[in-house]
Amino acid sequence: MIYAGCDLGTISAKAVIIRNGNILAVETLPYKNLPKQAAIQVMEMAKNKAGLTKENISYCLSTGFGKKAVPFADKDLPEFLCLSRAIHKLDPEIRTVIDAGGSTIKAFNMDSSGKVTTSATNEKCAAGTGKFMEVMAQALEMPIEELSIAALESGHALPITSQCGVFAESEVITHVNEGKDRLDIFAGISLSVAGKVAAVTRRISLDQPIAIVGGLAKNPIVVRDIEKELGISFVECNLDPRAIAAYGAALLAEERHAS
Amino acid sequence: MEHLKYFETMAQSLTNAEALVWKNSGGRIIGLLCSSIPEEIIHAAGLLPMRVRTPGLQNTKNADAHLHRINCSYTRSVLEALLTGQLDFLDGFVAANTCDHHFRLVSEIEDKSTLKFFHYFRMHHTLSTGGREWLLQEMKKLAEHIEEVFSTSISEDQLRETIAVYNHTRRLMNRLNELRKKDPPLLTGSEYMNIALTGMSIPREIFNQKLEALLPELEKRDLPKHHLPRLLIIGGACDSPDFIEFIESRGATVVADGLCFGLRHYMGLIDEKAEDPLEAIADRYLTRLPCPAMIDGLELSHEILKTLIDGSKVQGIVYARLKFCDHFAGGRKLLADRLRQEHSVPVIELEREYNTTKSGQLSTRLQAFLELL
Amino acid sequence: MGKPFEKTTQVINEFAKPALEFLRALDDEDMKLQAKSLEGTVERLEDLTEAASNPEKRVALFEWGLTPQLFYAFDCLPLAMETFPYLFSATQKQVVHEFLEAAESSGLPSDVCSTDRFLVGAALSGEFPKNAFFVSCAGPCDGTRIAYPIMQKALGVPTLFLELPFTYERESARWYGRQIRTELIPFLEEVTGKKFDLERFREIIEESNRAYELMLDVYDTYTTTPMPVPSSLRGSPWMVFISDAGHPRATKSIQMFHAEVMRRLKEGIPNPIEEKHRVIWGHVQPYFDPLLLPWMEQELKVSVITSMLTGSPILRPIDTSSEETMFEGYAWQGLDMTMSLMRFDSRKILEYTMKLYNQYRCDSVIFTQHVGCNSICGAGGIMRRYFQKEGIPALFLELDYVDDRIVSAENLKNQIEEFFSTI
Repeated sequence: MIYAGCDLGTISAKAVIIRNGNILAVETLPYKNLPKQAAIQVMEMAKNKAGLTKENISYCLSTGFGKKAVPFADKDLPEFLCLSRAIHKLDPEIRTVIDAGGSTIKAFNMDSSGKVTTSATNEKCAAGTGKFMEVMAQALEMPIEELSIAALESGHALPITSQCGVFAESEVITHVNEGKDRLDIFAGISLSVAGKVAAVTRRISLDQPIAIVGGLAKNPIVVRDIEKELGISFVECNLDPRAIAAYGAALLAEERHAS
Repeated sequence: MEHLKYFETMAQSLTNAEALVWKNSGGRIIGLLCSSIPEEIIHAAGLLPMRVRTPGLQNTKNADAHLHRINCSYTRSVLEALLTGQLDFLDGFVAANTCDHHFRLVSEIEDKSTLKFFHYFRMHHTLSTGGREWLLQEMKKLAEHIEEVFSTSISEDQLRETIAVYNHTRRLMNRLNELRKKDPPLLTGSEYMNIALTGMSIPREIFNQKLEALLPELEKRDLPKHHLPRLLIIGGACDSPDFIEFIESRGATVVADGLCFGLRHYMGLIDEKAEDPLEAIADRYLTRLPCPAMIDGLELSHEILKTLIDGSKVQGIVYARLKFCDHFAGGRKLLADRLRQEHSVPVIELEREYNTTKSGQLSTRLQAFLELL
Repeated sequence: MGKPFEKTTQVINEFAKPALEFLRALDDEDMKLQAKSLEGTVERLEDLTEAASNPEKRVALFEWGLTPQLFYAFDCLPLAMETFPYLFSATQKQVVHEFLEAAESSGLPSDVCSTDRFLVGAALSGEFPKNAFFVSCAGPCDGTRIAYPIMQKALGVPTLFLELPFTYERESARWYGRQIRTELIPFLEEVTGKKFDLERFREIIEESNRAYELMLDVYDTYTTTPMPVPSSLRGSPWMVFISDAGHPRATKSIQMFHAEVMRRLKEGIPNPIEEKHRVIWGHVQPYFDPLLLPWMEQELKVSVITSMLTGSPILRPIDTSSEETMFEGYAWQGLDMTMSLMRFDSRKILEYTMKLYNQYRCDSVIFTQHVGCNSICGAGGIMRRYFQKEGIPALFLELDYVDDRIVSAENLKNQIEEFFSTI
C-alpha cells in the first residue's frame, strides 16, 4: 500500500510517497501565490515520478503552515511530530534538529525514543528566514543559488546592523546603491540570518549530533555561518532537507493507517 | 593638545590607567547603570562610582539569549560585557528600574553577576513630593547597604566633603560649557564628550585636577571662525565620541547636549548650606535636566533646554533615541511638538543602536537636515 | 475629530446589545452565563457614555494602580483606561487600526505598546469627554510613562500622576495609601468640588468587599477539574471587579456568576471539557481573537485556567476598621490586582506564576510576550531557564494582544498546536 505526506510551507510545497517505509518519490515545488494548487501539483509530480498515475494513495497526511489547505489530505499533523518522526527514522542518534524554513525557524531536542523534549520557535519577525533571504537576493538581483555559493569566497562580509527585517532590507539597498560588492553584501546577510537561527537554537540544548533541515539547509554559506556561530558541525541526513517533514508525514500516514 | 589626549585615552576604556591605579592601591569600583542614581553616596563611602559603558563592543549574542531583542542595545551590551567577564574588575553594581529595559537588566545582573555587591535602586518616576520622599528613602537604603557590605560608615562629614568635590566638578564643567557657547566654540562636541566620559570613569578628585589644568589652555585656543550650524544633541545612552564626531564631520558643530552621559550627569549644584546633606543631594537630582522617565518632567526639561538653546545659540537639535526606547520616543515627540509650536529650532529625529557610530542612512539624513539650517 | 465616546457608543449599540440578545436566545448554559455577565458591562458603559454629555457629572479616566471605589466615593463615572482597547479589539478592528494610525501619525513610534498607542490615538480622535479628569500612577511600565503625558496634552483635562512604589510588601501598600490620601484626595476634591466623605468611602469599600469575597470563592473553584466555566469566561468576575468595584451592580454581577458556578458544581457542568492540559497563561491573552480559548478547549482539550495578570484575588478583603487600614487595603488592591503587578521584578513574576501554576494544578505554561512590552519581553530569559530546568513545558508566544495584524490568529493557533503536540 502506498502512503504520502505533503508539507505545504510558505514558499514551497513538498511531497513524499513511500511504501513499507521506503521512499518511492520526493518532489519540491516553490510557489508564489497559490498554495492549494502547488500542493496538488507537487503531489502529481511525485506520483508521476513514482510511476503511480493510476494507483491510489491509501492515506495521506499533510503538515506545514498550509496543512489545512491541502485538499487531498486525510488529516493534518503538527510539524514537530513529522520532523521528529522522519529524523528518528533517518538517524536515531540525532539529538537536536534545526528547521530553518520559509518563514519559521524551529529548533528542538529529541530523546532516544524520538520524542521531542524541548523546543523553540522564532518570533514573529521575518528576519532570519528563507523568505527574508529571497527578498534580499531579489534586492541584489542575482539568483539565490548562485549567491549562496559565490559568496562563500567573500572575505569581507558587510555586516548588517539592523535586527529588524524591514530595516535590514533598507540597509542592503543602501549598500547596493553605494556600489558595494554583491557577494560581500550577501555574505553579510548570511551572517545576519545565521545569527538569528543561532539565537533561536540557543534557547534549547545543543546536544550532539545536530542536523539542519528545511530550505536554508541547502544554502551552503548560511549553513557554514550557522556552524561557525554555534561552534558545531551538522550531520547529514540522507534525504533532501526540504522534504524531511513531508517524509515524516508519510511515515506517520503508514503507521496510523496500518493500525 | 596634550591635555585633551589624556581625556581621549581615559574615556576609551573603563579599565583605564587611573582606574587601575585606584584598584591596585586597594580602591574599590562600583559600576552604575543610570545617571539618576545618586552616586555621591558611593563616593562618600570611599568607593569609586563608575558609569558602565561598553566601548568597542559590537556583538551581543550571549546577552541576546537572556534579554529580548526588543530590549535596548545598551542594556544588552552591558549584559554581554557582564557575561563575557569584561566587568569582572568591578566590585559591585548599582542598577535601577528607571525604564523597563534597565528593570529587566536588574534581574539578569542579580542572576548572573558573581560580584559581592549588587544593589537594586528603586527609582522614582515623578518629581513630586511623593517622588522626593521615595528618592530619599532609596538613598538611605543604598547607604545602609553599602555600609553593611563594605564594613564602612557614611558620615555627614563625608557627605559634605563629597558635595564639595562634586560641586567643584560641576563648576568646572559649567566653565567648560561656557567655552562651547562661544563662536566658534573652543572645543568640539567630541572633545567635550571625551572629557565628560572621563569624569565618570576615573577618581573624581583627579578629574577635577586635570580639568582645572585643561581649562586655561582651552580658553587660550585661537580657532578660525566658521559658519557651521550649531547643534544640540539629546538622546539616551549616547556615549560615543565617535558618533558625535560623525555628526560634526557632516558639517556641523555640537555646542550643547542633553545627554545622560553629559549634561544630565553634570548639571546642578548641591546646596552646601543645607541642613541635611542627603536632602540637598536629592534636591539636586530633582531639579537638574530630568530624564523622560520622569512622567511629570516635561515642563522642567523644556525650561532647561530652552535656556540652553538660547544661551548656546543652538540652530538645530539632533534627537537620537535608541531603538525600542519608549521614554526617549515620548520625550522626543513632546519636545518636537513644543518647539514647533514656539517656532523654535528644528529637530531631526534619528534612530540608532548603542554601538552605532556611523551609517549611510544617518549620513544622508543628517546632511539633508544640515542643509536646511 | 469625533464626538466623545462616539466609537464606544457604536460598540454598545452595534455589537454589545445585539450580542446580548443573541446570547440570551441560545439554548446553551455557557452562552447564557456570558450574556448575564455582559449585562452589567453594557449598563456600565451606557452610564459612562451618558455622563459624557452631562456637565454635572465627572468621568474619571484612571490607569492601573487604582481600582474604582474611590471614584465612586466622589460620585464620578470611572473608566479603567487599560481595559478600554478590549472593547474594540475583537469586534471593531477598524477602530483599533484607526486609533493606532492616529497615534503613529502624531509621532509615536510603532514599537511602543499598542495599548498606549490606542489610548493616545483615542484621545487625539476626541473619544474622551471634556468633563473628564485623568489619574495615573507613574508606571508600571515605559509605555504608560510616555503615553500619559502625551494624553494629558491631547485631553486638556486636569491630570495627576502618583508615584508608584516598586516594592511589594505591606509597607509599600501603606506608602502608596498615604500618597492616595495626601495627593489624590485633594485632587479629587478640587476637580469634583466635593469634600471627601470617609463614611461614604467606607460604605463603597464594604460593598466591594462583598464582591471580593464572592470572587475569592469563585477562583477557589477553578482548582477543580474540570473547571466549572469555560476558559473564556473565567476572568469575568475579575474584569467586573476592576472596572466597577464598589457599585452594587458589580456585586450583583459577581454574585450571579458565583451562584451559577456553585449550581454547576452541585448539579453538573453543562459543557465539561476533557482537560488534557491545564495552562497558566503568562501575561495577557490576545483579545482580538475571542475564539482562541474556546478553540483550544474544543480542538486540543486544553483549558486555560487563569492568567498571571488576572491571576486571582491574592489579597484579603479591605480592613475597614480604621481610615489607615482602609487606605492601605485600597492601595494594595490597586497595586496587586491590576497591571501594576508588572512592577514585580523577573524573579518575583516567576515566583507568582509558579504559585498560580501549583495552586490551580496546571501542567503547562503559555507565556506571551506582547510586542512593545519591553518589560515582559525582558523577563522571558529568566522564565525560560527556570522552566527548562524544572522540565515545565512552556510555550513562549510573541503577539500583540490588541492589534490582530502583527501575529495572526492562524499563526498563534499553529504555534499552540505545535507546542501541545510535543507534550
